[in-house]
Amino acid sequence: MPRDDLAILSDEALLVLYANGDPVAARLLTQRLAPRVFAYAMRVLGDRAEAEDITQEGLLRLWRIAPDWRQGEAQVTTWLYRVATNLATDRLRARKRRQADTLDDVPEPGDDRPDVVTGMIEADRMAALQAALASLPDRQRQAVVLRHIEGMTNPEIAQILEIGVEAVESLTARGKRALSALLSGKKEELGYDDVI
Amino acid sequence: MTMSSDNKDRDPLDALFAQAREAAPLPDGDFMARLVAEAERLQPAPKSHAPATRPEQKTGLIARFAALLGGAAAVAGLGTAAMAGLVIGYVQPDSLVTLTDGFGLISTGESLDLLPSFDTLLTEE
Repeated sequence: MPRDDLAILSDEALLVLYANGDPVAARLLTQRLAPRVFAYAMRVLGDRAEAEDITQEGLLRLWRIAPDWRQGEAQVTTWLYRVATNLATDRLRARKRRQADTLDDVPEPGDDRPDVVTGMIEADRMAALQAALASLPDRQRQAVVLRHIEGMTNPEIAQILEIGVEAVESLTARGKRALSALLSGKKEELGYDDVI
Repeated sequence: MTMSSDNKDRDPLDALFAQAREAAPLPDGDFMARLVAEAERLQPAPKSHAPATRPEQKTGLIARFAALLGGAAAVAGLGTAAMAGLVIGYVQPDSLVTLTDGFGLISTGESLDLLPSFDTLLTEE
């Protein structure tokens, strides 16, 4: 098969080629998967350096498991998102522990809504969305990002978060309601004043 | 900042999500280059497509002797001939005497004992 035609192959097929030592597969898989994991990690963590760390670690684990990859058991993207989610969850927990250690009066996630809203006044829509996402509980944020921004299905999200499909539906519904509440007072700044 | 007419027709939050999908944060070029280099560094070595060669087998003394005589078939033939010789040597050749009578040859009427039995040897002592 010509080298250029490898781009039409699935992630799973490319991973097999990678395990067989095909250098083109290494480059194609990296270019295909890294931006997705990075964008997801950025949405969940809101920090470029941490998002890069998670992307690098996630791909590192993928390369290591490639020779033993069992085809048909899981999609590469689902597996990679699950690894990224677990890594991000660890980072978020560590971040909270550090905050608890250094600041006794650090507000709970639900208490910083006024700060989010105040910040939205000068921010553009993407920054406002990111700020609103950051105020959601971790699992809600992960579920909302996976469902509404990354475009994953509920069964895929259930695999990634290792919960049931009903729990995913509940998380995304509550997350979306919370986002609407957070952003409702800022329709004018967000350019939605004509609609409502 | 104004929304496109397409985004205005949908739920404001869904429109915001759609915009977020289009404006996904991207990793920078240096970082991507490092990732590709790391992927290549950790990649297993390419599998060779050269035909597999049979490992050289060590030949034993018996195998070399068999080869010297003409191979395993020749050794089997020699073994069979040797066994047949032993059997003919041990068996009383009465049938041969009968056969020679049939051809009109003079029979001594006695069988020929080519190999004295152990009993005979014991009685002589």
